[in-house]
Amino acid sequence: MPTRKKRKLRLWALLTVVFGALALITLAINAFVKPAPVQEGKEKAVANAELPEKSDVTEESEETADEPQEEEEPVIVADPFTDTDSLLLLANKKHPLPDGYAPYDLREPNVASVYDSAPMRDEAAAALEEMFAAAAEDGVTLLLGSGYRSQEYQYQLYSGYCDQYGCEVADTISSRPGFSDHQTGLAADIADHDRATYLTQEMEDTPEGIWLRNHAHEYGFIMRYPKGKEEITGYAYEPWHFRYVGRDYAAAIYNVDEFCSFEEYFGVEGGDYYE
Amino acid sequence: MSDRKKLAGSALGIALLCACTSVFPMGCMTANITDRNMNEVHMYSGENDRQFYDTDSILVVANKKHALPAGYEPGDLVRPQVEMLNECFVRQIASAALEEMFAAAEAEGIHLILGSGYRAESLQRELYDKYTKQYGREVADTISSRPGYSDHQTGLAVDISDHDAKTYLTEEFENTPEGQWLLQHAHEYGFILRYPRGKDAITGYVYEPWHYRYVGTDVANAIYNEGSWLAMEEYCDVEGGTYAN
Repeated sequence: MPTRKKRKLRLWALLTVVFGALALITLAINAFVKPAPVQEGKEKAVANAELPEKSDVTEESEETADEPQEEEEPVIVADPFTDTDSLLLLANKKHPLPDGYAPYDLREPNVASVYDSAPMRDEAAAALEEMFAAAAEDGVTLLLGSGYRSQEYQYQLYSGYCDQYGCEVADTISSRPGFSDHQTGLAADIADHDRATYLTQEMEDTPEGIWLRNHAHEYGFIMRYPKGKEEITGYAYEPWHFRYVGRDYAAAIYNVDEFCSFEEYFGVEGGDYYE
Repeated sequence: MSDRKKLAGSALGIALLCACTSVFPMGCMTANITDRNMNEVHMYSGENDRQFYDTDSILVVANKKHALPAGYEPGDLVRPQVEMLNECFVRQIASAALEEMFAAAEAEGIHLILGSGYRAESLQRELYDKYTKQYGREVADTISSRPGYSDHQTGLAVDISDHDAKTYLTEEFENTPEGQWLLQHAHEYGFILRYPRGKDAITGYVYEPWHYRYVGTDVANAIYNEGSWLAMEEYCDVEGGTYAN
């Protein structure tokens, strides 16, 4: 009997050791494999360095101070169009966002809106509030329609259109999931005061549309899909769709001309999907 | 050795206990609800009936006299697979019924669009604060629920729009094909008109022909069969009306 007891004990001990080891291994894997996309340190560095001049230099120095990284990292950090914390994060039909990307600092802008929820990233939300207040002072009532849209929701929208009209038509009215400017949390669809022209090109001739075209850049917003730039942006003219890029860039882009597109200004590829 | 046995025994006990508690309350709840019919309306013990306060119950009441538990958030929110104006989530049970209802309407050539579903207490606070700042508290109370008091926080309420959102959130919605279809058929899928016409004093809200609330088909049928714009507060015999302060 004692030997049996001992054997049982030994079995228990063995099991504990095995499971303990397994647990340790998983912990170790988590600790060493996950850091590969060390986003946080990097993101903060870019956020601090978000200035039009020579942002890469500051980024890299802060980056190295933060954490010793492998050599490939700085290359990624230097690209403001793929860095999810950069205000120039690019989403178009040639450049999808990182799969499943969701901003960490979304909030509801404190402005009048069409639906009950239209979250945006904190900095963009603050700028939007300022812009809406300024418009109101000029007697122009803006309404926020749509802000951040999750990749999952975009998937549902897109696949709904695919089922209804076929994917070829769907591509003309909805972004594919992962390719939408709204997923950046920096985009806003804006409506006129009574929604009469919301999401139509007639918005262009309303007092709201005119005010936005002339003043949005003062608050860091650009018209994301300007008139006549369909081939370049990959989208039809959307006089309601504004994108936050920060005041300096917005002013610079506006100063080229009122219908200058993001893709043109930064010389990045746009247009249609690869297939 | 005996310690180990005790440990194993208690682990088994805990597991069994968990299994039981997760199975039985649901069982009791559904039994309670499905056995109702019109004749039993007044058998609800009204204010003292547990299920109107139980957030697990599909009859949980949120109105200006009954706040939900602070910070309540349903554990089973899903995004219904229907067309929507904006991203919406509702509780699983309501989502399935909603999808069925939208499909049935579509089959009859009626195109419904979901406008709003679950609204978090934090979002409701932001909305209410926004209106308070803009118009003052008195006006804000007429256009927005206070945080914690909204039917939308139950995850069982939906705002529905007509196909081109022309009459969304307006009383004219009543006269659209979509509004009419809902008035006649929503109960078949377990939804009731939450704020019927002429029941402002009872519900605490003006007529909202776009606002439907999932209560299950039995209660929805019973309320519909009453035929006279019966409010949830009347059927459940719970207090409604405006805020206590």
